[in-house]
Amino acid sequence: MNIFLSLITALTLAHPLAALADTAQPAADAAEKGLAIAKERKQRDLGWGDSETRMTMILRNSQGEESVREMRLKSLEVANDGDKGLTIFDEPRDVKGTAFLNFSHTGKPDDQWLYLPALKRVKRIASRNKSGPFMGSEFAYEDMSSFELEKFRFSYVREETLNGVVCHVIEQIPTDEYSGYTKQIVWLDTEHLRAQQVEFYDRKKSLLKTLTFSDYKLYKDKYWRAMCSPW
Amino acid sequence: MKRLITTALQSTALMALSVHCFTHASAGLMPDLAMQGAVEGRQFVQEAQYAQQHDSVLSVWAEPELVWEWGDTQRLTFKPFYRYDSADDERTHGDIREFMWLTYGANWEIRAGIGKVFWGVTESQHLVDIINQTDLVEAPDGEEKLGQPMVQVTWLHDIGTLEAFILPGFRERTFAGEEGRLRSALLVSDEAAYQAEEEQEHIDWALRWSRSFDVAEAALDLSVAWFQGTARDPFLTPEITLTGGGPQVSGLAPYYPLQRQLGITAQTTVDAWLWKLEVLRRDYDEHVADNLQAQGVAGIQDYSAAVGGFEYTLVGPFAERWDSALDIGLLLEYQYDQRADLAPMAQNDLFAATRLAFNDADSSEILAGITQDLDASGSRGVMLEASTRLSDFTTLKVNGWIFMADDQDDTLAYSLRQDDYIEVSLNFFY
Repeated sequence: MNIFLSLITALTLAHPLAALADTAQPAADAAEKGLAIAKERKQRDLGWGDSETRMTMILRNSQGEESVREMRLKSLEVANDGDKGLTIFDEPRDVKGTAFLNFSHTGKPDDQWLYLPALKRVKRIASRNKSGPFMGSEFAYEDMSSFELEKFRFSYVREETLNGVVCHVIEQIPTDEYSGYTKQIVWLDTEHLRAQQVEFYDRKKSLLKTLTFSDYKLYKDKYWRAMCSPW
Repeated sequence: MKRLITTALQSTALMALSVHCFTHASAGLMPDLAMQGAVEGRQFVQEAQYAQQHDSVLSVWAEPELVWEWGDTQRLTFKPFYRYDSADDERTHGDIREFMWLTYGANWEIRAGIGKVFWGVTESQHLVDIINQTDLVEAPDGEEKLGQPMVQVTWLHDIGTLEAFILPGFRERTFAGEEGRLRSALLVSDEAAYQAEEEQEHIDWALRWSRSFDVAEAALDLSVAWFQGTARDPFLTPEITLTGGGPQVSGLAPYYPLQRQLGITAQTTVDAWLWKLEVLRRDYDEHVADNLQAQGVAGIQDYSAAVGGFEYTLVGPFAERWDSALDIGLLLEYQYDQRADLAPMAQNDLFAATRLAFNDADSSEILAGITQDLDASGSRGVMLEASTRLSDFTTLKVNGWIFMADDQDDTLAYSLRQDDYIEVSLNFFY
């Protein structure tokens, strides 16, 4: 699967080996600072309640052929546990009406179901299969889960300017042994703690994909949401 | 499910590729129209058992879907279906799959009209699924259903989801006609008989409770359902005609008794394992069994049946070596029916299958399986379902069946033994 391959390569070259630099800070301090920033990031985004997103996912292979996924994502904030998300597919037409329901959890595997409209059947998915691709995309099922502090061990790496924005660079290591990732490196802008870029490292510890966020828009004077995030 | 009132766009840290904001056009009188259809070619690879049957069959079908939404919580869905079949007049048929009004509140839903309801967790057999009649001419696996008139009330509560069904209007099972394959030697007539005096106007009803539990680290999904009304599975009684040479069996007539059914499903999800179980208990009135026995129809007796097994998924087993996103699912299920030899099928059978999900942009998938009768060692069925997307509007499907039987007493399997086929289908979506 070579979806977005050219794009990923370009982004990777722009930040060679960023994750391996800087080990000067004592580990305990780095962990403390990383967690503090992650907590603050989560704290600033509390209280949004519920939301609805329309997403257009464009899959582009190495020949430049495109296929489009249209979906609607309805989310419900849950206090003291992970959030709930319902993704309803509109395109391509053969999967129209198919829905994916995800109950994210902090202390145990997520609950996941798939609704198949032709059969009117709801099927539960074994959520240990989290590293599997989502709808033929570069997304894995675990990427559909909400951001929760309990899912990672954090470590502060350094401060760095990315595309003219001053960022905290945080390393987060998934606590779930079945995660498809060994670590993620996240760039959060220091002003609003919005994710600007995430690097995902696979089980072989090599860079698997890079996700960038742009065109942030402010909702209800408090909640920042990215309008665009090409891999 | 609770409708979410929304203003904000949401993306978790990782949850969006390219996000565009739309103002949501809430529907008015103009319906949202979707259309599905297919051109199917079926090739039977063995000589037909009966003179009128065909080896090559072309079939086309269409299923438009119109959805009107108004207010915040009202929806009407209309989904008619029509198939034309080049060989079988009985397979050329139409149906209203859905004509359903839905309204809902925070913890309740009401549906009224014609619709479809699925119950069950297992893959090889849908034992407890009872609300809809099987549209058997569509496919031999019995997964296609006829639209059922119903009023359904759902109540979402802490103790679980409670559903009540009132089912007025009975649908008769469809059977292949004279020129159709996948049938018994004797044709099944349209002249159905009923135990209920009201015949097709008898009002059936059902109640169901379902809930998910957390047991240790695993999720446990339970459901218990009660159904009371006319059986969906008919018993086939011989039709006798008087000819010059005396009485002769000229066909089969479906007989639909009343039944009471308790159905239980359980599924537990432990790591990559899905463990599934369906259990069924069916009771009939005693005098009905006696009457039928007098007509030479055996098999109508109170009984229990079960199907259970697991699905295990290997996620990306070749990801590292060949950079392949292929997932391999392994399925194993055992089917039991207390009636033993009197059961038409699945009385002591083992089902094994594999599901290959390629996880490519075309959503390519292959499901291949075998059902082996453990009593009649020569009876088995082999199935293959493969599908891939050709464009945003078309998919290609290949379905195949091989039926094997060498024991005349295994009536159903024996009657299908010459009906192996492969079907190629081009599906259109709009």
